[in-house]
Amino acid sequence: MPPETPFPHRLIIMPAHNEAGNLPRVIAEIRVAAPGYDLVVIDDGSTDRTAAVAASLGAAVVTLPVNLGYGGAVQTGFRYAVRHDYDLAVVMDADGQHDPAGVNLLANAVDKGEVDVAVGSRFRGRMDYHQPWVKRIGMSVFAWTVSRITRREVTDPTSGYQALNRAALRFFAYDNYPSDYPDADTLLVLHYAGFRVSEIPVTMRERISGVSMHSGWKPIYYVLKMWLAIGIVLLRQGTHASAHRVD
Amino acid sequence: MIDPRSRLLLFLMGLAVLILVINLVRKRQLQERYALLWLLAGLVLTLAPLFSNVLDRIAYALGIDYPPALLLLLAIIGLMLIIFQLSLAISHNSDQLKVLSQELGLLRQQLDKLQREQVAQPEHLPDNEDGTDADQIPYV
Repeated sequence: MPPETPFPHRLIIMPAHNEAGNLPRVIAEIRVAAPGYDLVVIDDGSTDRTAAVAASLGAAVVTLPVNLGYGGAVQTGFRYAVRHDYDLAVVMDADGQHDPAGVNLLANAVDKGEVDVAVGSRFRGRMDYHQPWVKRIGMSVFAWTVSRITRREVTDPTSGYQALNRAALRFFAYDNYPSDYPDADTLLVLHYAGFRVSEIPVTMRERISGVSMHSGWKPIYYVLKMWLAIGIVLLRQGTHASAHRVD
Repeated sequence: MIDPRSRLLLFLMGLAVLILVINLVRKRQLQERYALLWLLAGLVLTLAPLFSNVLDRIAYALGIDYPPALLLLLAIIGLMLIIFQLSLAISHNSDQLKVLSQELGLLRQQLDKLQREQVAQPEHLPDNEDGTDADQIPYV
């Protein structure tokens, strides 16, 4: 266990798959924008020097022996946060899309104690890049659906830029979290489990280098899978309220 | 009525399936829970040609004019059951694999950290799990 500090114990969780090229710039930016945060990079079965680069930049590195996918990597970070007794964790992409200025905006929202999870929205904030139209339409439909159900306006259900407090970290650390892409369905799970979620405007940019995870046929698969996932969450409403939490 | 030649073929195929499956279970290369559906399939293959008049009657009773089609129908249902069981098993396995990978990664990080700390400042570590050293053990 780390020593007790008077300041809240804060962590940035950064899932990374073959991001060795982006990490130096991204981590340097974080050190400036969010000093005082510990950083854990979850190397999701990379074949490049992601782990070595992250370690050389002073990050704690958890290397997964196989590629689990985004959700599996992020959940590993949640588990790391729970075991090291962090008060708050911010999940952030390693590809440079998430402007590090958002870290404090998201954390502040959670600090105020009014929400358990703060989600960075590129549509309330700024989006400096383009998306495939299938995905764009899909996202707006899902945003509408989630907004209707939770009676809170959700503009960016796919955003992976999030700050979570202890209770939310514990809720997701061992269960209740999808292994592929946390999305609109995850927001619904939070809603039914009684967590308070709100959106904070942030800036998202074009990735610095490498290939995006959303390309080719993936958007179509994504939209279909999302409808199934949302439907299943609606069927399981009661289950989420009493879902497993770690103490 | 199915032709005697194809009945013999079906019977032999059924026997082969039964022998293969039982042998694999015996050698522990196939788990009992996955063997059950295959054994059922093997049994249907072996028994159906022996009692093909019963099969014919069932087929007509179900309104199937061409009795061999009933056999095909049964085969498709059997295959679908087996495939479905495999999908369930894969989902279960990938859940377990996910947890194992996560734990392995976290443990390795912890181990690396401990090793680095030990290299940086080699401390005297107690010899025993309860924090005592070998020479401190009280003799009773």
